[in-house]
Amino acid sequence: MPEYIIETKNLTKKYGTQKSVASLNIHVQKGRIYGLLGRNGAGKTTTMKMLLGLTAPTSGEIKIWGKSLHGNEKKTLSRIGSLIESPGFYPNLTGTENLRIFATLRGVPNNHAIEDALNLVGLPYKDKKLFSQYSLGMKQRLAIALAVMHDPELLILDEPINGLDPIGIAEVRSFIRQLCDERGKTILISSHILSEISLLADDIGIIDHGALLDEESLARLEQKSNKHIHFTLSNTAQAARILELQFKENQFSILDDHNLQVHNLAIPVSGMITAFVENGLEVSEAHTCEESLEDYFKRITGGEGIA
Amino acid sequence: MLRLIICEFWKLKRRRLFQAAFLTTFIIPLLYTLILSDANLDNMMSVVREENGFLILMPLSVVLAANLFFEEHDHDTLKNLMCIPVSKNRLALAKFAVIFLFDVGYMFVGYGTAILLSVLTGVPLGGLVLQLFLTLGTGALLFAAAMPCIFLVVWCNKSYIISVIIAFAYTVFNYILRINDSFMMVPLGLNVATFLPVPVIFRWLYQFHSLEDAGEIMREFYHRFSPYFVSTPAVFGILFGEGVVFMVLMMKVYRKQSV
Repeated sequence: MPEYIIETKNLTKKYGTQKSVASLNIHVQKGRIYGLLGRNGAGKTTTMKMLLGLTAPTSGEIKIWGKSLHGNEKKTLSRIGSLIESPGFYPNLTGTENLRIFATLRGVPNNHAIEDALNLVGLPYKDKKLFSQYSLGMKQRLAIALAVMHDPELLILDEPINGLDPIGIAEVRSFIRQLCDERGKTILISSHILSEISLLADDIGIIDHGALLDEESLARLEQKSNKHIHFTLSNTAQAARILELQFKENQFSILDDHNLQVHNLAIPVSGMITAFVENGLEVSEAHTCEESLEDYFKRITGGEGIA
Repeated sequence: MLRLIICEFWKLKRRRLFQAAFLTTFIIPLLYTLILSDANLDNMMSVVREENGFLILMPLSVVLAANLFFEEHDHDTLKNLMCIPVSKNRLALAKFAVIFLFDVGYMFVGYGTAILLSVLTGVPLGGLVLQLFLTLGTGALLFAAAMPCIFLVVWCNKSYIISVIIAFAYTVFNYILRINDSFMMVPLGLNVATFLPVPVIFRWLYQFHSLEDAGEIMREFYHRFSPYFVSTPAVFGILFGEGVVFMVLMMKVYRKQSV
């Protein structure tokens, strides 16, 4: 039985009559990166806010390190680093001064914690530049520095690559991977960018309209993606009869008069082509199609797609 | 708690409003010294307490409070604090402490300014301890007197401009009340005049005015007014009670504001 760092049971958040999160059951395993994937407005940020005690759930339960978050906020939150929505800092202070405030309030004992955190995200220590003069990318880096400064065991990062340039995205990605692999951190990361999640996450939860549609490891999710052999030929009705009689196969779909898909990949393509040609059919195209994660996402979310 | 208060002061770094506010403490005593040739220390200190305190410090406290209470929402830093976790109640208390220290510090600077100007103009110094107590005490009482207005500003949760308008309206309203006999010449008890903070503070302060250089009209006024003077324990008791009530209400409002 895997050890879950975060576990929710029927977690629900309603704003008026609108359900922002509906009966969510997520399971984040120790030492792994969990990617919460969903379109904008799917309920990712609300979920993360509930996990951090920033907003109270309407119903349901949150367990972190096996204990209910409610009533254990002080002990639990001090072990978590977080980045929620846009970076929030005092504009009249420098990055170092901003971090010093939060380090003081957290009681961070390590004198070098601020410098180390800034170095980690590539920002200068004791720079004179005020936060108000930072670019969006620098602001995002500072927010990540704040999240890791106190060396937390669990990181909850809401869209951490927002505003970063491609090099910055790659750096942050590798840095998050490193935190997990080398320092054993458990990371919950949300994104609406499927490629990012697929490059980073070990486990994926797909959320749409507040509901968790699927939760699997990346490897299992890739296996679940639909694969088939696509034929373009002169008569699909006749081809279907050949498949049923000669190959005893009924796992296929007729798309129209000339296009047909065979879902059983165990049948050799060459054998099917030979059979079709011997029965007088003209085969103009035959290829194996593999559904991408994006296609899978589109399929299970009802075709609305993702960035 | 001390860490929270220190951090609240760090947040004020490079905030021109806060720095400029302290400069205003010199203006009125300086003008008073320049305009009036017969200035004495008692009058100089009264100017610091009454004009500096009630006309300048009162709205400044409200504007500072608006800044402190709105900044976490404006800069989206409240979520960072809540995740530490810092409770909203403790955060609000730290902000109250900053306003209190600002008020008392402002009055202390005014006290220093009055002494400096007295020395420079050759005004004899005397009764400095009593003046210090009255001036710092006024700072503490003004903190409590500003609470209803700060509560209104936090409750409305509107822009800074609205806060400034509310602050100046409150200041002018209170300053007018102090010249109104219906609020000043009322015995202490369960009546509106007892619970209006600014008239009560004036009723406390007036009893300490020196009548040495006062004319006949002034002496007659003080004689007529003396039954309505408020004792030190009474004024601190009333204002402390009111301050606590409004702070508790404010913490409730602040707690309800979403991240």
